[in-house]
Amino acid sequence: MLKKLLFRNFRLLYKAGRALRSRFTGNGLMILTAAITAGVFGFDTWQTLSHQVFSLLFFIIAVALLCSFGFRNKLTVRRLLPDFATAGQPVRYDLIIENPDDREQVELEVEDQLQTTFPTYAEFHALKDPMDHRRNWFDRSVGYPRLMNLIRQRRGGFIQSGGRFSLPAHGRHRYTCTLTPVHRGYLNFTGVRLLKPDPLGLVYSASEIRLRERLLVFPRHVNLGKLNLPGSRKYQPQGRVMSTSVGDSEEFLSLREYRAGDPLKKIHWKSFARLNIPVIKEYHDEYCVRQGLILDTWNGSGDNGLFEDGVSAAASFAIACIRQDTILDLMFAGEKSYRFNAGRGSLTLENMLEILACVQASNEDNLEALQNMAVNVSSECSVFICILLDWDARRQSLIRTLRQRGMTVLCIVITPGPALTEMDTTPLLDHPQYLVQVRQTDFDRDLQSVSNRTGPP
Amino acid sequence: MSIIPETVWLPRAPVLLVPAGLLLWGWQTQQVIIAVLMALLLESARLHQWKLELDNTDFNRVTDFTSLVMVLTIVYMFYNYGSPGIFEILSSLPLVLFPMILAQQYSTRGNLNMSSLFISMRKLSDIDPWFTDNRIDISIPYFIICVIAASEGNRLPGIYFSLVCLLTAWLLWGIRSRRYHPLVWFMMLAIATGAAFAGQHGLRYLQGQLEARYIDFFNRFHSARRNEHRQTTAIGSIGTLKFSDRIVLRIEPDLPLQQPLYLAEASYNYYAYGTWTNIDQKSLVIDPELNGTSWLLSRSDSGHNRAAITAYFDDDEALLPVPQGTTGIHSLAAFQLERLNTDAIRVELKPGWNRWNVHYHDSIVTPSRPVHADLHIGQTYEEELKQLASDLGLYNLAPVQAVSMVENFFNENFRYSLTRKQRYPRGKYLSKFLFEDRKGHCEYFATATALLLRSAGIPTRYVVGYSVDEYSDFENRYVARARHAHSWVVAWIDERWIRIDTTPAVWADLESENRSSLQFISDFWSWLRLRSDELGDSEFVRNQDFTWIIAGLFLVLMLSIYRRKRAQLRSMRPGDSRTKAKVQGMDSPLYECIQRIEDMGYTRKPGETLYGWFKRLSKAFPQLMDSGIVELHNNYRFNPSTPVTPVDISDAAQRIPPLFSTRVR
Amino acid sequence: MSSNPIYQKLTGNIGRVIRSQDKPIRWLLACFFSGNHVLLEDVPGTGKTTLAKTLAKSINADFHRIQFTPDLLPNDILGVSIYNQKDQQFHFHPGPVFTHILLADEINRASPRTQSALLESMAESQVSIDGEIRKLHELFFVIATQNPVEYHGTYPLPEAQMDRFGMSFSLGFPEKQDELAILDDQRQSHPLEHVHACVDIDEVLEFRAIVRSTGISDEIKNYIVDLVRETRLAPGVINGGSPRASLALMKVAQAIARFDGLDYVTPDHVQEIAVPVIAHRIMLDPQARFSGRDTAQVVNQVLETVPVPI
Repeated sequence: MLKKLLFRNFRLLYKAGRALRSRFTGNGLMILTAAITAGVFGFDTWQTLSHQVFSLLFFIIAVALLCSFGFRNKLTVRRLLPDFATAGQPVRYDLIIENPDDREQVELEVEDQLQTTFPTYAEFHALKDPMDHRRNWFDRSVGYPRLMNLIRQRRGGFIQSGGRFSLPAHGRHRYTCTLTPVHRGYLNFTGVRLLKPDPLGLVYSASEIRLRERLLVFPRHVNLGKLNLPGSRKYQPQGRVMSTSVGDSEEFLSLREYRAGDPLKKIHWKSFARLNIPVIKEYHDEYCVRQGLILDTWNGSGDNGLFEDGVSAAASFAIACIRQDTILDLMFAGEKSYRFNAGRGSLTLENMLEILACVQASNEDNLEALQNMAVNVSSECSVFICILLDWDARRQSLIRTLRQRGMTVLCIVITPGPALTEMDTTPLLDHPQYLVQVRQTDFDRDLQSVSNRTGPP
Repeated sequence: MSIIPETVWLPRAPVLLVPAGLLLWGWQTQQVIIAVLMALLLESARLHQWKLELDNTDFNRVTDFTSLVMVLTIVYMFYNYGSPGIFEILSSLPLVLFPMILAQQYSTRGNLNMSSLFISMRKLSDIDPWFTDNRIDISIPYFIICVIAASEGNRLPGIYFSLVCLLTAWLLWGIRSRRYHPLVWFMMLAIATGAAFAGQHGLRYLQGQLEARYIDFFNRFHSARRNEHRQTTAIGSIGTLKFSDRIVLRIEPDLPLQQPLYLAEASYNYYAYGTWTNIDQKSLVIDPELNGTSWLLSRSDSGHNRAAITAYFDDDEALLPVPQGTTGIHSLAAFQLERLNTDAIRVELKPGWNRWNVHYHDSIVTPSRPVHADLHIGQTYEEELKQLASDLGLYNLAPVQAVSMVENFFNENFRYSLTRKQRYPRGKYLSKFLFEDRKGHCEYFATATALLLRSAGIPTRYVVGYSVDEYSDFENRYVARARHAHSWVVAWIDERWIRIDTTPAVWADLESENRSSLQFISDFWSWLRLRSDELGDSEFVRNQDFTWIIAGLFLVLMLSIYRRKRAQLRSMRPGDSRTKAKVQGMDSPLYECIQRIEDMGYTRKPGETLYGWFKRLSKAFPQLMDSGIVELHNNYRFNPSTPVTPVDISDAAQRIPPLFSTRVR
Repeated sequence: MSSNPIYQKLTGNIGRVIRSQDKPIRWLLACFFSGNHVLLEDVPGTGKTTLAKTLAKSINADFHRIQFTPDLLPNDILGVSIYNQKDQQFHFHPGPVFTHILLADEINRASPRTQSALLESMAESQVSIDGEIRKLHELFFVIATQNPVEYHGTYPLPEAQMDRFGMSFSLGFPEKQDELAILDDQRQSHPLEHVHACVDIDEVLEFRAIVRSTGISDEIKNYIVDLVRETRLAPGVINGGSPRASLALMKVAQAIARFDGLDYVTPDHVQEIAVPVIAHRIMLDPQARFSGRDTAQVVNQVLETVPVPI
């Protein structure tokens, strides 16, 4: 009951705050604060002269508000977004503003707007914010920081504007904004607000331009550097990653004369017959590595944070593997089983990240479908990277099944942290170092330790 | 580090605005010399190039120091002044916050982090990855604080208002929008100022109206300053009255006091809803004697009791606390002395500690005579009081006996109390006091006595002042503290004003029970201040001593930061990795031309070539491109086997006369 | 300041066939005369083949075109030794790489093995087959084209190999009036058929020598090296420009200076071709790449911040 009341107050507070910030300039807010302070100290007009200051500032603000009517203009805006962005990384983009009018426009400001909806009470109540346990008791019980976080998440990003500018008649201006996306997926832009200050510079009048656009945001990822995964060729006698067929192959290079010591099976008999001297087929050892990336999408406990970190881990591996010129098979189960093939002629890295940006957590148990798919593919891949959201009996049996088929498996298990969870290493008894625990609280560090575990000895 | 890039909030204040604000504050709170020093310090930061590399830790230290000083100041002010201490704190804010603005002005980066200001933000970067520690320039907020702090001085409202308008206009001019014609801006400001002028008068009027109707806790703030027109009592205030132990008066009578000495400051005759006012405003200026420091209040200075009174005045106009029956005031350094119609003495003197001698005797008759208002009761109370007077039989008694009857009445049936818990409708408090609770503090007793005696037909006035009874062994004289402020009545009986005090005599003891255990510290401090001011003739305000101590601490802080930074500055920075190439052609005459263009305000970006720059400027200076001087210059500079000489360049420069003199190298 | 006559002749000649692509043509010629190779990144149909053919025809040089497909083998590029029954000897049949001007079309469709065969021959100016080393012609000039990487079925050139190209830029689609003009030009016949040689190979080689002799002051060299070094320090960059980039920048700037009729290099020349020479050599880390940053931005930022000698 109290919480609902608090929630309504928060909504009021939030809306009031937004109304103030959209109407007043930074300087205007400062003058407003000064007026309120003067009012407080000037409450007793006999004790101080502060009421004079209050009166002056109050009327200045009133006059400014009265003089800021609507903003009529014929300006057009175009947004030039990059192809994609990454969660947590600031990205710069441009707004092209054109003035077809004869009138010069001086001192304009631009605000690019992302879609923001205020959450319902149900959503707020159900929210579990992982950052909460670090906040003090008051913040946790009242819940205001949690609500603010939720709103920020739903908006999807922060946009920092590029300051004031002027536009001559029939002129064009390139206005740079910096956007920092908060999470992966699609960011929705709703429109652009053009702001014109009043003569005193305290209050804005705005004109809104609808400009809907979407930007794809890749998941947050960690730089894993050069991976030396089990199953890749470390000690090959020679060869380059060039073949178009998977696995070891010997590619025909050319014919040459026989030299002492060449294996007899390599003699090209037809040429020998014609020339009367032995002729050897020269081969070139080559190989191609195919890796499987399995992403667990079912998290029974309902904490989406684990799944998000799982996607981040998958993205990190995808980037590291594809950059090393391997073929990557991404597998995950949702409503049906999905399998995507990237690298070397099929999907590009960007496509793979796009898929990972949009993958959703699953509401129901799909471990069996995942297992079936992995088993089917196991003959083609040299190594499996499994990103799991838990290390329970079901998942351990999945790993055991894969091991029984002779697959080399690298397991990444996402745990809440900050303490290390006890994990049973029996499915990976021969290589216990391939069971890596990544804690949410130390995500970057734990994930990068994979390079150390699998690197050259 | 946060993911969101930092922004800087608030622009820098226009040049010289903050010093102007400081001077305004200094003038109003009479600390001009300090204000001038502070202003000079800040301005010199702007003028010279010597700056410190201050980082977050340094700013945090400054802010923590400021917070400590703030806490000390708050404790000090509230302890000494009680609730009015808030205004003292307000007036000292520019001084308390000075280290912060000084640190900002002397730092290379010129602004502070928000986390330096708010301690709660310092941990936020761990908790919230989206938190950005934005920066803020505090020069404008500091200026605003100076202006509001100046308002505490409460002097010359007309001039203050004009100056504030001027300074605000100056500030707003700096942040105005260049989109509009300055005339528009000026008109808006003029309208706002005019409305504000009317508005602030209206606010005062509004408050007067509200106060006349409602009595509230606020009124206790008034007790610090006596007003000869009005005395708002705490009748109707809810809660427990507390007074401070601050020593207000020091009295040295020639003979030890046998009974409490009543020093009157003002008297009033019109009562309504908890406020006593003086209807009549007449006053008579009394000329001083030939020595300039003596004033005779009666033709012969026949009062044979003597006392020396020392009091602190923070204003140049005040009501002088004098005993009843004062005939002469001597050794008073005052500019003017007036006697009001109620026998109160109003003086114009130099603010600060003042000391004077009084000649007095209780039996002396004061010149004022009762007026009609001295019998006024007011509709709200009239009926009840007349009933009470009748019950007591006052109508049938002679005035003297009526007085003793009233005194007995209060003595037997009433108790002294500083607490009132029950809330009553407005105007009912007095009757509740008289008929139900029968307990209250001195204002209740005095007011009730006055109205009761008036209903018996005896003209009575309400008097405020001090009751002196406490002897300080430490100082060897009598002292009157703030809590010894007292109210009583004078009644016109047998052609003279007789003092009547019906407040139970134990009131002084009860009040002293509330005395704090640390009283002796503040007494010592007060004595120290008096001594130091007596020794030196200074025009500084009483906060002065406190001020100097804080200033001393501040210097220590500054020195420590300076020393730390000096050590940091000493570490040499690695040399620039860009090697210098052998340059040819640096004596090209075109450089002079370039300098002149730059002086005109056209700057070249670091990565912009001459050709590109001149092309950009071709609208303003078309001759630059046409003259071909860039090609010649480039040839001279970059051609290893150049045939060009400086003379060729100068010749080409002839074709761009506005920029070049006709001087030929 | 007048421009060089050879340059004028060539641009005039080529301009008759390819409309209003003055800057790409200028850059292409600069690359050609500085002895570097060019990578064009463009969608199909913008006139890359026509441009290469026109250039070849204008200087009376041999021209070969290789269309790269996924099943292309290195031998198809370099050449193969075939056994001749009659004289019982292996004879070497040279591949298309033994020519003056080579157009390697859609190089990113072939397998990495085939790509490297071409790239190595470009780098070393010689081909090693059957243990024998055969040198390529002095005038050997490769124009490689690449499809933008959105399209599937491609093997983008490894970033390390991009360094072998002196410059990389794109032609882009023509303006509307130019596209209309193309329709008019090619109604009856292709203008390419009417192109004649205006310069011969000896003149070209001679001009190359002149380009190499263009004066360049120490200050400009310093500026070039500063620019390239700065790209290594830019945020988000894993590998910036290498010394090969500085070398290419100098050589191409020298060519541009000669085109403008000057015998010394000015900073304007360096700035003009900085982006096409350096940008493709820069490798961004995934964070920067997926934050919408591109290498041209990096180079432009470096150009704006590094102080230029005036």
